[in-house]
Amino acid sequence: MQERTLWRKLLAGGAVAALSVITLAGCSSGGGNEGDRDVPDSAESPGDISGEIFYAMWGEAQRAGVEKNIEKFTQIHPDIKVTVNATPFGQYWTKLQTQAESGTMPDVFWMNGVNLTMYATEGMLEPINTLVDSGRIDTSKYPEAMNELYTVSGVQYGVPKDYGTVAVFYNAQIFDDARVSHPEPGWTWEDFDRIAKELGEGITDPSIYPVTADLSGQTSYYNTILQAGGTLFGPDSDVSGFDAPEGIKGLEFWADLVTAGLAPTPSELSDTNSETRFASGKAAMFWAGSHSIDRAVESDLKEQFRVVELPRDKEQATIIHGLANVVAAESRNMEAAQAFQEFLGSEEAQRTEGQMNNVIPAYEGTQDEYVKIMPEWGLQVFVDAAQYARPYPIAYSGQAIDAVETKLLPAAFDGSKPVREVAEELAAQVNTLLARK
Amino acid sequence: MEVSRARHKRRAIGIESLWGWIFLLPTMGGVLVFYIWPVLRTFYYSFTKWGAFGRSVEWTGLSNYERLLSDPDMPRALFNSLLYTFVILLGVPLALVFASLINRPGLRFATVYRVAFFMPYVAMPAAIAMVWRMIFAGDYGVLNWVLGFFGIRGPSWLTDSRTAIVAVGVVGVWASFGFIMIVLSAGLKSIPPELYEAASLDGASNWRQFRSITLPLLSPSIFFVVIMQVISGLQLFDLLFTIMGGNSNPAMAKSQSLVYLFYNSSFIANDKGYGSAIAMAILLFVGLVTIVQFILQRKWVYYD
Repeated sequence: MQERTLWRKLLAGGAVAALSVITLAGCSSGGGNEGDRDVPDSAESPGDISGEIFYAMWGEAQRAGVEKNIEKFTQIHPDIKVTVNATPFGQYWTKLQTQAESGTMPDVFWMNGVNLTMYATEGMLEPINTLVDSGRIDTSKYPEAMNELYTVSGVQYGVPKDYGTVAVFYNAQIFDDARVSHPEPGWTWEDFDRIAKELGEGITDPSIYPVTADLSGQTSYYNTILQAGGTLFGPDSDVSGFDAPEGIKGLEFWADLVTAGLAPTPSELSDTNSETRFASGKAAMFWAGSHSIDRAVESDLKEQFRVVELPRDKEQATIIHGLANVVAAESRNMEAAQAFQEFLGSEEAQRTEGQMNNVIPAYEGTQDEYVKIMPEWGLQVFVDAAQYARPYPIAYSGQAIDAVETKLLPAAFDGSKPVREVAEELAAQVNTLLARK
Repeated sequence: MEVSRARHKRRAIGIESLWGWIFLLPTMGGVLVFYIWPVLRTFYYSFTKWGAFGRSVEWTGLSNYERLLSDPDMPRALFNSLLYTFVILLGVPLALVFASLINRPGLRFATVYRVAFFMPYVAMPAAIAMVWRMIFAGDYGVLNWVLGFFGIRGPSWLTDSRTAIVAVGVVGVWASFGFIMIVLSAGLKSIPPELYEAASLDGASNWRQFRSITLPLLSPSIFFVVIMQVISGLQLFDLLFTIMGGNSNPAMAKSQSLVYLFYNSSFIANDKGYGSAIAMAILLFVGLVTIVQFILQRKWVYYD
């Protein structure tokens, strides 16, 4: 091989080297794909709206319910074609961000609390007030905390789709085998600690943990921080409560369980998550969001499962969070998009959600479907929890705050760093992010 | 007479080269629009601060590069990329051994082996990642199950920052092995058999033949695969991302590669100005390493 041929071959390699640079610049081009969507001339009677709209969601779990709702929607609006785009949760926001930058956002899409403030503040979302004013949507039919979650500076942007609270699932069989009495409503942190320790001694199989929880804010430490009487953060506060004594206490709750060997380490959880562990009988108690019960429902052991409210400390508290359907401000088919948004918020559509998906629908009176998924479990606990629930903390830099938490907290939970030290660093970084806007 | 013919010839060459350029245009256009232009834009963005959704792009001079030099994640990312590169370079001598074995005359099923080794190279990275995640999983992984027979309790390979990069490196070796082997076998085939014949007549041992004939004549191929491995090693991203599963992995913060740092800054923190600066730094670094290798190759690569 001659040196020159080699150079030529390497040119290909050089092209590869430029790839990382190209990925970035690729998303800087402005504008969008004009002209490939129909724009109706004016608002006419519902049946006359036509065109194609894109609906974006994450995951595949709720796909069936969504398809069913689209089918019903198409019966009312036969000229509107709805195309679904489902992306894994991990890539959903990256994709949406890039779409927003290049003017190719989906017309209607799922929104969560973490990301709402930034999208709303930057004018990416269409407010729902025209729909509310014309009586097409009645927000009083949804839980107040959910309307609050999707309101930024007094303007509401999302129509609540579902809501989720947190409670403790437990495996009655493991409790009985270990001769430990079942948890009762009204139990406290002391009861919880005692039960966890008794389980730790009573369980003979070393692969079964007394407690498991995905160490995320929503299902674990946000709840315990609030129960300890602490605060988190919010759109109007520029100081977080992570390094306050109550905040540290709420984080230590989890660190203590892990270091005592009563709960899996973050590293073990990353290989096999809590939902899978509990559903396969490898955990006695599981701090679960009402939306993550799919595995448990499909489990062979499901007869053994029960649900009880979260233990309380200084206060009784759970985080409430839910999704909403939002419309892109730049949608080229606003009529159709809003018609779809309206339909998804209707009692009929939410009842379908409750029947086909394992989530609690937001519309008043449609929650029974969720409780009926497994009548003997006592799923009503999740629905009732909405009464003492506190909204998920939101901020302009919500996603960046989320990333900081995931980066720093594992060191506190697996005992490799003192909780106080991590909490202080976390608070410092989160406060900087809160000050950004 | 002489002069006019020369002029005629020159004009013919002019027209010919014009046609040449016209035929080049489609390819050149692609390279300019999809390669050169983005690189230039990225270079420009590396001096800016990127507002939410790219609405405000504000010139900030060298501040992104200053931040790059003081970024606490940078040394670790550089170390991880170099460690991974080192691990996948170990695949080169290994592939050389296997290529020599497969190239032995009279070996039965040689094609079968060649296909088997090449298969990972054409397999889908996402599928590869899924399988290796199951192999490396801590509690219920295949590898730890096998180690269990020897009484060894293996770590959670992919969720422990001490082992993650090396584990991903092993997959990297496995995935690029087929490609290296094919290049090296082609090189081996082009060595004239007479040389070995002559050497054996002179009484040279197999080892001596390998050192004095195979290695020097194969050095251009070896150099080529080394360069390719180093470039792909320094660009580690997709394998790392798919196998480790992104930021939800607690070991991720300490296992970031250079390109992962770029991804995190650009697409998770949405700081695209800073991301551009990282991308430019990577380009510069890969370029420098490659140039250094070309200078050093004069000392050990043998061209006939």
